[in-house]
Amino acid sequence: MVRQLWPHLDGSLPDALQDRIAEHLTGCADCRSHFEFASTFLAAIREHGGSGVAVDMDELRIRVSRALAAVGDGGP
Amino acid sequence: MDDLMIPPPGSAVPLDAPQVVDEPLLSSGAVGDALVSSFERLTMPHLPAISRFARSLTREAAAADDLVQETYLRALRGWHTFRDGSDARRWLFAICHHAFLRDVQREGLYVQPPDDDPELESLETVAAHWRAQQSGVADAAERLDLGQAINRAVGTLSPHYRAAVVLVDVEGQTYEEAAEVLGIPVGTVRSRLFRGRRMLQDLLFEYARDAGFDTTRTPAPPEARK
Repeated sequence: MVRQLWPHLDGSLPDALQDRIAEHLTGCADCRSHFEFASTFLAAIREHGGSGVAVDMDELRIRVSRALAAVGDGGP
Repeated sequence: MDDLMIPPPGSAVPLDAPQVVDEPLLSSGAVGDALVSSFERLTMPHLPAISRFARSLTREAAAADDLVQETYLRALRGWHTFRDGSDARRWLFAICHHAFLRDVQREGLYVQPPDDDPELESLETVAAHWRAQQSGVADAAERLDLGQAINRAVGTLSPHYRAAVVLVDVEGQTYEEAAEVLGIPVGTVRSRLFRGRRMLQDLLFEYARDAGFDTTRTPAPPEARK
């Protein structure tokens, strides 16, 4: 059952297997504790896994546009 | 090294932008301007997403901005390979990742990861969590500032694992979409993703131990219980 930890949490298994695992989890506290921790962990990665660094998008847009224009003009 | 040659989504032409830098359209003023203009119309709306992805990959602002610029320049040079109706955002992601790996390779940091068994990675993740439960570290990890711990941990993953985790877990892409961006089979995405998650979990438990949350109970030998 625990071999399907990540595929189950990602919802990537066939429906019948997803359902069978969900049913098992309702009656198995051991497995449920692992799946619940992993689920919380995934949510934290989703929220905090990016760089978290603020970007000045206007400045970046200008920089990229200038670089593209230079190529369009036959520049480097 | 195979996945350094990534075919861009929607194109049968392998992406290696420098090979097409001498495209005639790019070297003549008026026509070049028109080309750049149409290119920008389709690609610039994706700049925030590409910037976010570049920052997630590099974990450093200046390097990320350089990577974004390089991505757009490569994309413009390979613009003739882009097919109308294809997903421009995914195409740019693929180019960005490709350019990132080139940088990693140039810095001598490229290591081809092994192909792990995804199911075994799930099993190992659970076994590690079980050991952490027995030692009290799992409870402690849940009391950590998860945001800071995970942000630091993602930055320490090697490039291949980081890319898989960022694409699927942060960007919300499916295994299939990530496979297209990374230029690798879906099974390899699963393998890298699950391995990456396990390494992140290990790091999280390490942080909890370092923070002094560990107890002195000795866990029993790990085993697959299910």
